[in-house]
Amino acid sequence: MRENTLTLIVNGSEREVPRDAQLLLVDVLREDLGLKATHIGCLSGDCGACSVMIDGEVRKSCLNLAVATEGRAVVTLEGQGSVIMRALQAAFISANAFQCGFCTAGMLMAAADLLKRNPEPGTEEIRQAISGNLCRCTGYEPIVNAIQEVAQRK
Amino acid sequence: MIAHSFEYVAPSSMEEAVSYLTISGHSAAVLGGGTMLLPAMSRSEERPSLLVDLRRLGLTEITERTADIIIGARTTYDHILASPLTQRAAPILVSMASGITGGRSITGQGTLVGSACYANPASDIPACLAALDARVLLASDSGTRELPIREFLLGGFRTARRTDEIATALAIPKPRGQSAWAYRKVKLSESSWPIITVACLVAEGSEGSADVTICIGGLAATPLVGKCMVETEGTGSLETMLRHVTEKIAAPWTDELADAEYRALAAPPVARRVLREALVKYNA
Amino acid sequence: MSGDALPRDFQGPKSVGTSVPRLNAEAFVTGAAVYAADVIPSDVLHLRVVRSSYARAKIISIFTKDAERIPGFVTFVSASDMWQFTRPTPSRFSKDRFPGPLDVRPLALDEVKYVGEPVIAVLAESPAAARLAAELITIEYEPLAPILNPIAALTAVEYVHPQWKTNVAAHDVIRVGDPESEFFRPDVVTVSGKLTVECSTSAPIEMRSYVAEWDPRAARLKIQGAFQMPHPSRWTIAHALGLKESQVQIVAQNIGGTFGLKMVGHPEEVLVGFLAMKTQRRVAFVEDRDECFLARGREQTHSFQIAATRDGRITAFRDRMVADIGAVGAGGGWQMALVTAAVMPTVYKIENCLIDCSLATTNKSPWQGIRGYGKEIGNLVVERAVELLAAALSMDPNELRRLNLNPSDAFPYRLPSGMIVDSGDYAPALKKLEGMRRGWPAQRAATAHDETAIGHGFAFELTPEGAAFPGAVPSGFETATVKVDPSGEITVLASITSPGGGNETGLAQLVGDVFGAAPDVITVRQGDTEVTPFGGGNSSSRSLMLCGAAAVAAAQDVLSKLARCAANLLQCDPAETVFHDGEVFSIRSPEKRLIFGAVALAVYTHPFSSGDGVELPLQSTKSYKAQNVRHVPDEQGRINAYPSYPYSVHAAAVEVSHDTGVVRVLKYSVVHDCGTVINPALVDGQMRGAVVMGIGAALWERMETDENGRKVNDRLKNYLLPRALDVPAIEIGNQLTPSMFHPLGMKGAGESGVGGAMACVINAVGDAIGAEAASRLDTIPATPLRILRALRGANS
Repeated sequence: MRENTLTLIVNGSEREVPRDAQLLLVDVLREDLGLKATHIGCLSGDCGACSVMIDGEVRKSCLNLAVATEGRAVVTLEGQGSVIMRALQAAFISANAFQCGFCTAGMLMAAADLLKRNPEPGTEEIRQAISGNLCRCTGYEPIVNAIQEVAQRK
Repeated sequence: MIAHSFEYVAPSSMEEAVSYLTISGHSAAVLGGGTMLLPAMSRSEERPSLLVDLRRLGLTEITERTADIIIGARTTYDHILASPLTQRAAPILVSMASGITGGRSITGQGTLVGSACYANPASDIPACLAALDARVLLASDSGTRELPIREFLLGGFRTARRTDEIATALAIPKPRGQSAWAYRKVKLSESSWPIITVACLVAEGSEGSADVTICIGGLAATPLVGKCMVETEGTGSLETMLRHVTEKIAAPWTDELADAEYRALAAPPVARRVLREALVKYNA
Repeated sequence: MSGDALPRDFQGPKSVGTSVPRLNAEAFVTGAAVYAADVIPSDVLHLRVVRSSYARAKIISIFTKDAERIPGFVTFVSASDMWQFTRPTPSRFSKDRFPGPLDVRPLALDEVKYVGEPVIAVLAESPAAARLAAELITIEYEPLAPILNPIAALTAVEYVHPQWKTNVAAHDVIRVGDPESEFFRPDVVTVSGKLTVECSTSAPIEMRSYVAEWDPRAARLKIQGAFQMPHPSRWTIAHALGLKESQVQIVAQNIGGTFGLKMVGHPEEVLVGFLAMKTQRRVAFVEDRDECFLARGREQTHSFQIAATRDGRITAFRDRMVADIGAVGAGGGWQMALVTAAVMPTVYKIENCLIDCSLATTNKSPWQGIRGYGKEIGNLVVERAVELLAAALSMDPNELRRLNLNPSDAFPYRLPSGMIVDSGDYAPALKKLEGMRRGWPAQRAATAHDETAIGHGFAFELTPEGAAFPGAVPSGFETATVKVDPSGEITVLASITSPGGGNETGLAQLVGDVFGAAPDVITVRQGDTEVTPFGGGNSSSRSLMLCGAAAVAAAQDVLSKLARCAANLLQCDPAETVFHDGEVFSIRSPEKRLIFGAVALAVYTHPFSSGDGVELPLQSTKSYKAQNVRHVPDEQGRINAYPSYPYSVHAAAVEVSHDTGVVRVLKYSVVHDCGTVINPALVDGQMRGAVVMGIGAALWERMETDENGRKVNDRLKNYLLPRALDVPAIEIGNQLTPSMFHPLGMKGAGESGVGGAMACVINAVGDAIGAEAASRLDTIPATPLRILRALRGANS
């Protein structure tokens, strides 16, 4: 009924992927485009490990069909080169804000989304912003500290 | 990847959208925010043969129409939080939206209409909409209709929406005269869905009295509603109403996170506090 | 060794003891870190497991025709297809404890023992096709009455494992003194209590996945996946498939958390290998969240009594515990229940103890390892008993604790189970913690206006670490190879893995210090059975304690070889050489400096001149075997399987709503002592993570089973993990009591915190709702319903 490829804008480039309604955005990112920074932890929108940016807003890529993101700008951690993201990455290292690292990409996405809207968040606002992202290793405090460190530095 | 195959359409008009539903009948599903539907499809719990995505239809606006404010089918919790109109005309929705869990990836994608159609008794939407006397606007090939939310919600995960219909909007009556509200929910933890929700509206009645509406979600499959008129502060009529609402529930709701016993224990004290809070605001 | 003889001042600065950043940290924050699911190629066959929907039933027939019509379906395998070509999966732990032999197979043959047990393996070209095909396989069962109640199971005449003719998988009675008569002395106050702990699960964010590849020409099997114990997995898989160990390679990528889940013995590990051999195709398995929730643990009941003189000297403690270990699989999770019993009465000096521990098999999924490994529950029971006793004596709980702690000069002391507690200093830790409560909201009761009450709770945790169970593969030792290549690159090949704790960084610090090198120039390799020496991977918080000591010994050996070569070049004595920050010089003439890499190269290029006298190769492999372990029974017939005994003491402030029973944790502090610390930030990180896991287990996390043995919880929406808004900041204070049984004074770190958090949060809830209600709070997690019931005069 339609041509069998789909054009997505991922990390600033147009990418051709199969037009298959059954594919979630996370499937296409990981399997078709090889962008493995985005992880799968639940496929039910609960853990946040698959968080990416869609049109500049943090979204869970397991809660979006690939076909429905046609024409929208998708950014994964691989494509995040902003000053804020680099500062967050450095702060995550210095604050030991990851252990196994599986949730880290999603946490960074949620953090970048927060700082874009609210450059000086308080602790509760930071905890709220990452409340859709599960971390089983750190107890969250180092993540909160890392985000706060970047916020205060600006 | 969703295991079963289905057809996907993203029509560019409501006419086209409803015509797809007419053709597909029972086997179609409407995709709004997708925060509930897509996981259910990933887990093979829902297997529509056709998915009608509303994404090209706009429907994200919150507008004013005579006595109502209209909340479009794709209006998200974030839209509610950002709208001056809801701040002014339905502040209880703002309060509710600010307590939605899951972070911005959920509040920016999940929709109020979608939640109303999902009709989970253990969710924020039912009691809030019931307290507001909201109406659900439905469209199909054979025209449009409006249903009061209390007629729309038939039971746990069941609504009066026909399979050929799309819920296009919610209509919320604007408050007339002086009014006040309060909303609280009980959650076991941040990861928990709402177990009990209580929404209370106090509106100016005739001859200086106040009309109190309290809606309790999570006790039964649909919100329990109590109404009474308060002429003076702190009367026993409220307590009588509460007892009337919370006792002798024909079919208590229960789910994996909380059984009927807990709901019955937690609801009355929370409802009492919500009532008090709303009345204090009203009298202030 | 010459390394030890070197003048230390010239080798600084040391990184051991400092919080250097994680090795390869950049990869984790840029998304470059590779996890198991990332290496699954696109052309693999996908395995989907058809699982039993009955807790106990006979398999009557299997109908597959509909499944075979699904496009992309390739094949299916049942137990009858597989048993003749495979052998039982061995257990990493000795089965000596069991009442009889037990064959564990990856697929059920004629009878299923739990809901979720694998029955059929389906292979298809895509995950979707595998899922659809699996759904269309119909298995006809003859349901049998499931055995679900562990207490009833102990005396039942129907059996989960029929060949045992009992459901008592193991029974241990630990006794010291004369507890029975102590309880009947007229001058003691005796308190009895019950505690039921519900099932909870490890729930790492990364679920398990594997991809297996059979090379028919080389006759070799390679399995990559989420393995925290690659060598034991190689051993079990090779056994099950009838291969030589040398034919099997296990490769573990970065592990996205495990907390015990990714130990040995999951059926799918063997299945992917078997299916890759059978189909001559690469076969992948990716677990889904519902399957991940099959990993059970912690479910048990305790009936305890504690007695003290009126002035608060605890004289006796006894506990009868029954653990519901489910069906027994190839994994070793069941062992946790025995550890629960063995850790009691933890930090307290109680002369008369009796602990009776039964492990009941039931028709539920097998226990898998879960952080705490049973110790958390032993600590919880003891701390609840102490708290209830304090209430009965009208004493401040901490005064009662202080009166009964093993004193600082008591170490090493023997626990009734035979465990030898190496070192500690308990009372000062408690005092320090009490000083850390400044600024906490005061304790208060609920009022008509404010439905919330605030309570404070304390708890000690004794955390035996470094398990060396007799018969385990391997038991109590780890191995490291240190080598220096011609380029001067220092590489550590470690027998351990690091699922997030950061032991690779600790190894780099330890080895770097030996060579006077910064940790970030050290290459650490783990998790590949072709590359790394045999070892236990990751478990029991013992990785750095054991493998670190091995790596230091190996590094010192290599350093002595380099020192010989450097001495030749510098014309000095090897003992006079100094290795510092990439340079080598003689302490007598520091102005003449060699580049470290040049010395290494000289060993390779000039072995007959500059390298003369160097014992080749420029590498060394050393094992370190734990001390303080005794497998020969002592005079009371007990052994000691744990070398080290870190401890911690915890305090929490909670707010409890009397309206709803909902608990908020407001404040949290802990004092931790795990002996010598290599990297304080990483150790604190482990503590914070463990505390939050304990808070979750105390208040929210529960895996429920219905009356048919079906798991109720299937998603992260209904298994409630702690989120960022649920938990406060966790303040950590430290004490340092080195272990006398470790060359560096180290103890294990990683699990400490789970039990202390569970206990102090429950004690704080008890404080908030009052002693009378608290005595009825007898089920964990303390859900809002249970708290409301306790407040209203009913037991949980």
